[in-house]
Amino acid sequence: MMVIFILIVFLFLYAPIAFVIYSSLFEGGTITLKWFEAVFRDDKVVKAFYNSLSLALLSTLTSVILGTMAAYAYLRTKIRLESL
Amino acid sequence: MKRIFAYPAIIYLLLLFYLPFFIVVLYSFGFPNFTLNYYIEVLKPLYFKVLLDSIILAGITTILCLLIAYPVAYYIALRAQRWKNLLLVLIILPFWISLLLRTYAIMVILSPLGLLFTFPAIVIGMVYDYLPFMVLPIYASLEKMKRSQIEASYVLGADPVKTFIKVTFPQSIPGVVAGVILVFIPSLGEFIVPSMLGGTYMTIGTITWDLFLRYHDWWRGSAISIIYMLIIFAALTVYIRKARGVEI
Repeated sequence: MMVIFILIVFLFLYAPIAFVIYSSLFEGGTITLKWFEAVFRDDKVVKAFYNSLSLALLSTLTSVILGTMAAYAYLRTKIRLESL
Repeated sequence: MKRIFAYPAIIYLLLLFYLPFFIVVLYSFGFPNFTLNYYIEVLKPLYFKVLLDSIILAGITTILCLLIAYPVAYYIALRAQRWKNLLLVLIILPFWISLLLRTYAIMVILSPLGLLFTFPAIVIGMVYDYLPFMVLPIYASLEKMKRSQIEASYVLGADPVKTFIKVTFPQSIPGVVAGVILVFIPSLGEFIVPSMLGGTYMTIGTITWDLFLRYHDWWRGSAISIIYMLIIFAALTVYIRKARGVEI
């Protein structure tokens, strides 16, 4: 009983993702990599990937630097903060 | 003088979080004038219905997430044995895919079923997106439990139902509390899912988006944002009071 329920939940979680993978690979019943090729040929998409990547890298870098510094400061002044 | 290291983060937050927040508060009171009209207006039926609809939607999402997530978390923590790690990864994996893409995928699935742009569609989308937030904390608290306690309960003559009610469930309450908070708060302000799957169904999230970015109505937008924050604050206060004594 429980196993069936769990299976249904996982089906629910993965059906949409499976559908996306299916539609990216199949066209009219035949398997093709044509759409992946099209994506990499499209300058706009490549530029968008580049932009997303630079944004992600920059924000990670900034938060690591600011966060590490703040955490270090917090560690050193912990007693005072905790007594608040 | 180690404190100096905290200044960049503090200045960053002051400039980019507290200052904008202060500006939102100013606008909600009718900046550059001072008036309470925007709050009064936002609490009139037109907007109040949206607030109510959002609370109902978030409530249904939270309850459904809880009902679905609990058995899943229970199974992974106590029954799955060697499949445990695999199942956990499978729960976390959808996180790696952008929320936008997941919601698009749901759209494609619901569309042929004729469910798109209905209330059930939003609920399905929301449950789909927030389910892992409920499974993981419940799993974490069930995982900590000693399995020998269940065996002890059986040995002492309790049936499975009684064992669950008296032994297992009480120990999972911290996870349930954390899960409810993690699902309810973001789903109350959610705007991507309702705007993509819900058509004209308005929530606090979509109406704030519309007011700010479509109508450039900073005043009503600010007032409704502040009310949203007050609702969250009130809900959390009541909820945490009720759940007092529970360690999260």
